[in-house]
Amino acid sequence: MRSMNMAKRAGKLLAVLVLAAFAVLTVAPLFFLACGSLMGNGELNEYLGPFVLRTDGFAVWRLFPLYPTFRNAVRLFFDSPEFFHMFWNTMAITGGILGGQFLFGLPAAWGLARYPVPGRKVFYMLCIVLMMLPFQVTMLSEYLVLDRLGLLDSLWSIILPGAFSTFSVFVMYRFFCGIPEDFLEAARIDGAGELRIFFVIGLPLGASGILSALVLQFLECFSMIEQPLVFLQTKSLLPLSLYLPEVRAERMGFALCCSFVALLPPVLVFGMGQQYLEQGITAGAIKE
Amino acid sequence: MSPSRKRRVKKTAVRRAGFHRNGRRKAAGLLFLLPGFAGIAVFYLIPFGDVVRRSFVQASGGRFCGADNYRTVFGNTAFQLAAKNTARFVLVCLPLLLLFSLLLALLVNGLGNKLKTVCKSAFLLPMAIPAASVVLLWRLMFDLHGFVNGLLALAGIAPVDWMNTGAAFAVLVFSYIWKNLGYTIVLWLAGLASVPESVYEAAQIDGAGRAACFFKITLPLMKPMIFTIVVLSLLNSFKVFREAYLVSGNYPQEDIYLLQHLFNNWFLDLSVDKMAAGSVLLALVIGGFVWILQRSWEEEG
Amino acid sequence: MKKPKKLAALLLCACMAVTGLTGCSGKDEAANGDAPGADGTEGGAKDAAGDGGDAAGNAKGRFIETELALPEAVSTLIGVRMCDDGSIVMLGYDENRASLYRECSKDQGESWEEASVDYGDGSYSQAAVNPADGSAALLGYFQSNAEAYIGLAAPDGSVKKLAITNMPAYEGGSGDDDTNMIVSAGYAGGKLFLVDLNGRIYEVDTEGGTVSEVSQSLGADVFGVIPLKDTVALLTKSGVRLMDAADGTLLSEDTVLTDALGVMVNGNDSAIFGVMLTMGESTEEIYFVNHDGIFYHKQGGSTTEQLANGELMSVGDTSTAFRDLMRFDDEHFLVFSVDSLGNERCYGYAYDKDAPVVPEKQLSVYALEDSQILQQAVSMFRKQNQDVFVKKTIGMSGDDSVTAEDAIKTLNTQIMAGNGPDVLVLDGLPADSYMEKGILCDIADIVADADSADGLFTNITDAYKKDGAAYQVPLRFYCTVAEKDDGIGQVGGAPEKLAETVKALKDGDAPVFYAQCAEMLLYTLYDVYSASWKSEAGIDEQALRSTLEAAKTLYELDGYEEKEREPHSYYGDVWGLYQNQTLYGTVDTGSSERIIGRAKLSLGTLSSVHFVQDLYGIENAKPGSFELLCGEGQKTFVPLVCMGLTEAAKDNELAKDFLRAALSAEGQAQMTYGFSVNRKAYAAECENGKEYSIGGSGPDGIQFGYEVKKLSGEQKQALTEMLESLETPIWNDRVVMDLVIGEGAGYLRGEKSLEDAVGAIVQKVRLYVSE
Repeated sequence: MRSMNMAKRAGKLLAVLVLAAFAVLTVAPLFFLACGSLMGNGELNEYLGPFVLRTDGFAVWRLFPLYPTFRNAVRLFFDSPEFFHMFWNTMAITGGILGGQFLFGLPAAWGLARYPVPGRKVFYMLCIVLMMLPFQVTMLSEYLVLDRLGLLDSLWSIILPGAFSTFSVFVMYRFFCGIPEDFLEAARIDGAGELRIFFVIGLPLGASGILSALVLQFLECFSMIEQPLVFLQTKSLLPLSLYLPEVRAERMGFALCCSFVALLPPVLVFGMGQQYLEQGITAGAIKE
Repeated sequence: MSPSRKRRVKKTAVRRAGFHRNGRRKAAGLLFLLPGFAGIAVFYLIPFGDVVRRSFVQASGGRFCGADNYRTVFGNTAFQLAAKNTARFVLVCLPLLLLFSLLLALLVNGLGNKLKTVCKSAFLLPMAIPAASVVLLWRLMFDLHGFVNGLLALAGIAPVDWMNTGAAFAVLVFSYIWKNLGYTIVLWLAGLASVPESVYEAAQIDGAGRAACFFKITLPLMKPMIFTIVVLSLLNSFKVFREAYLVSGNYPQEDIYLLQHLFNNWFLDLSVDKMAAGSVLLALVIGGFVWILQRSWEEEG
Repeated sequence: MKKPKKLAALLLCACMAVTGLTGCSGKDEAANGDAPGADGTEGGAKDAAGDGGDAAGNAKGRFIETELALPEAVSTLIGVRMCDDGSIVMLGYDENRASLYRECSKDQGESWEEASVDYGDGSYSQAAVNPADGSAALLGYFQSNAEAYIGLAAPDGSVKKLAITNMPAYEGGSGDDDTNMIVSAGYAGGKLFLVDLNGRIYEVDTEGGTVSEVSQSLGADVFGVIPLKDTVALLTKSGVRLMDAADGTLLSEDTVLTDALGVMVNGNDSAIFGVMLTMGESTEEIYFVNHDGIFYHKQGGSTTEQLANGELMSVGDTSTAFRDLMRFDDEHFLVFSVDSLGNERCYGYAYDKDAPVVPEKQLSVYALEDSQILQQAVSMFRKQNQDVFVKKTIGMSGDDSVTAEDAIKTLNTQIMAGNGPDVLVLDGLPADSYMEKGILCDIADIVADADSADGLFTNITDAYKKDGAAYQVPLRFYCTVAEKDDGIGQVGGAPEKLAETVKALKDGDAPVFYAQCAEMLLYTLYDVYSASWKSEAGIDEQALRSTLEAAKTLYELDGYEEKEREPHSYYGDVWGLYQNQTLYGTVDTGSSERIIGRAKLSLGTLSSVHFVQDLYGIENAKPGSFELLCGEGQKTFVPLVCMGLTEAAKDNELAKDFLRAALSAEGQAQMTYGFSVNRKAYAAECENGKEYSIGGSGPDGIQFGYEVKKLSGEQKQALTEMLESLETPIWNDRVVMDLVIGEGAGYLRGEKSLEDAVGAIVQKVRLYVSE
């Protein structure tokens, strides 16, 4: 009896160790960036010298900065207007896209999920395929359409296509499918109109699914690279995702600091939305 | 009135109302769908339609040339290499990710609630890191003079030129798994949690062992979840191009030369006809794959 | 679990608020401080052009340019200024710097009255004209501080030497040479101000001959002085500051003006600048001219108003520098400038209220990178066709982080969308693909016309002919040579032979080459051997390998350390990558080392007639010879600015005219890099070669000097024959070049092995070719 208990406990311990190892692996980069932002250039050059200067040896890392300094943060917050300018662009784009998805994608997912719309299976398949196609495929054609609409070189060229992204429709759809039909039937019998049903039943019950789609889209917005590169030309319109400071000797700490600050909003949003994320993804995927 | 007559009247009334209801519901559904559909049509369907059209005409001049572009694309060695690499990548990392995440999910499942949440948060973190930061990290880790080689040196192993040899493929797979692990684990966990305890209890009474339980009960019941996981993982596997491009440029090491690199380069060359044909082929393959998955795993639409 | 969530939410909101605020204000700054009004105006300020001046509003009214002839006698200006009575006084030397003339114009530059100036035994480099009476202060070099002087030239031409008794010592001198120099001077408010080598500003007492420092608060940062009526504009490294002439107080900093003026390039003799200012009716009104045009700014205002668009003016040529800007009234301006060849020019701008704001006829020209050659072609065309708006678009303008690929993607989408340019400069672009896809049109007839008119180096232009049709033509070209000490035999040949011969030259510790960086060396060898690497499946591995091995031998021959090697980006960020940086890996860089004995051999590009003269000058001083460097049997040349017309512009006469003008002798006359593909222009360059002497000292104080003379008949003949013998262009492909130079440099510096480098190049090029 005791041996079985011990085996069980040993197994559990092993499990915890393995998981801890992986957890470290996944959290380490964040930690690295945070520490790096606090390091002065001298210290960084010492550690990362071989990497930057291409000399012999390897880059090393110390767990905590020996001489923490806020110089990088200061430089970033007070001396780099372009960084925040691009940040603002990213926020504008994100806001626009999320708003658009709420307005258009949400009803579309609802309509697709709950109503016998003709050809919905085909449309559903189309959504999936469109969602998976890499950007290069439609790049030129999308450019031509945007050009025809006169939207090029403005933030709208990024916002509008994003607002109609089929990915969110897919996520929200699967979740809406999971709502029991009985609820809606009951409401209909009580005389509620379809629109009312949508607002009173669909939205609240689907809240976590909607939020999860929005959170995922938010994260995606901070990583967008291909679209801004092609559709935007004016430098002042570029979003943060394109701000890749070169890792040079003088700018190392600054580069790390920038990366760290750049990923704070996604991580924060993610932190807030995590529970909805889980609920949304999982509940939506399980068939009742 | 006698009860039977009342019922009869109610039935016909219900049937007629039901008929109307269906039509009204269809209309309502369409209304909900319309604005979103319009946008999707303008920004996705029309461009894709244009791509299909371009795959049948010449790059400039627009002369119709039938299946010429497709023939050229099939015979193009760069395309063959890119397709092979992309397929290899998907076939390697998708199962790898699924297995890995399943194993870890099983481990996490056995933990207490608090630890569970901590683990989930930690694993989900990489998903939130934007591509630009990932590239910075990647560079620092996998460069010839980077961290990983430093660690290897400590262990006495010779440094590997990660980005310039076949090892680049491993780096790509690693990056993909690192990023998507948490996401997938969470999905598995939910799937595992969705199977009611009662089913397990019944099986145990029948004498089924844990492994049999798992394979014969858990997995089949999670089929819809697996469908979602596979679709989303496939989607994310295409996103790996971003990091590869930012680190290695247009002509990376041979083993990580993907279809998107090729399309990108074709575009730089103005070979839009080849690009269109290749894209249509890719879309067909993806469509076919998803259709098969749907047929075999989805119970209903 | 709720508390951390709340905290996170608060943090996020704070984040967004902070960035929102900073971002917002940043946005305004960006919009303001950006391109100085080149994209139009922000309204506000005075409507300087009277009726219909706003570019945005009305469609009529712009300044028309006319070039005014300068007095014949004057070849080099040393000073020019508008006087209080409206006349213009100018001082300048003749061609031989033998006589100094004082020219005066009472009709805004249309005609000049001449008077010679008796300047005694002084040698002057600049003159500051006193607007009050037309006298001038002449500045010159002096041998020591004790002998410091200025010449005061009276309006009647007599010069009085004023000795400066308290000239301060030069603080930055090496060793015990502390001779100061007057760098810039100007009269304002009746006083004479000057700036010395220390960067300080002084007021001169013209009676007693003493200088007293003014405005110490600026420190030692000033490099130029531009006098405005009662104020002085001080050009400092951190921007422009205005100083009151009466008491030396600095006016408050005008950041708008500083931002708008941008980078101010200091000319060679400090009397010419990248921007020039003048005053309006009152002290607050400033007018300035730079390459973006003529602007007006009211002090204290928040914007600058563009009056004339640089894109329509000759001053838009970024290789010119300014001597002076004069404003006669709202509708008449005069600009004195120096062009890229060093010639003095004068342009009058008169406002025509009936002319359209932007000429109706438009022509679009695109290049991946800017170059002096393209600028000249555009300038020349603009001058000859004032009613055509030439829109020059540069893909990689240098200050952005736009990569070549981004630029090409943008260009390709525009071409596909039908918005492509009319004229394309194909350097760095996938020219072969464009030809295949029919983007370019056949220009064989234009080329043939140029040939029959002026004669072309048909060996160069024919290399681009395909089945009788030509889709691109290089405007200039150059080749690679090896310059060596007397007694060294032929160096060129296959890479192995080159390496062998060079190795054999190594004798003891004496260096064979100067410390060149890896990229420069690779570019040189690329130019020589790349044509031989082309193969069906990609790149000929064996040929590539032997070239890289030879490069390694050359690189390591003298054992220079990495930090001794000259960085290749020294000129690179001025002219970019795809104009082929070997333009600056010119052979005379190495030859200058040869002349002081620090090298026996120099490999590099022979990139213009001027450089050939230089080479012969060096060889006169230190005997040597140069030979064309080529591989086995293949004489390669490097094309510079290959121009083509797009198919969409097939029937566009303007586009054809542009190409014709660019190929013509007149169009090529102002281009300074490469050899002209037009024989007449080439002959003219040989004829007009400038003669001068070069002197200098190397490290360790070795002195050297040589005379540069015009090419003699024999030399010209030899050069022409060499240029005529060139046959094949280099493998002018951006992708291949990047790969070879990138990987090769890694190999040369010891960062990777030969196998790795060659393997990577071969594999990637194979992939590239197979796409």
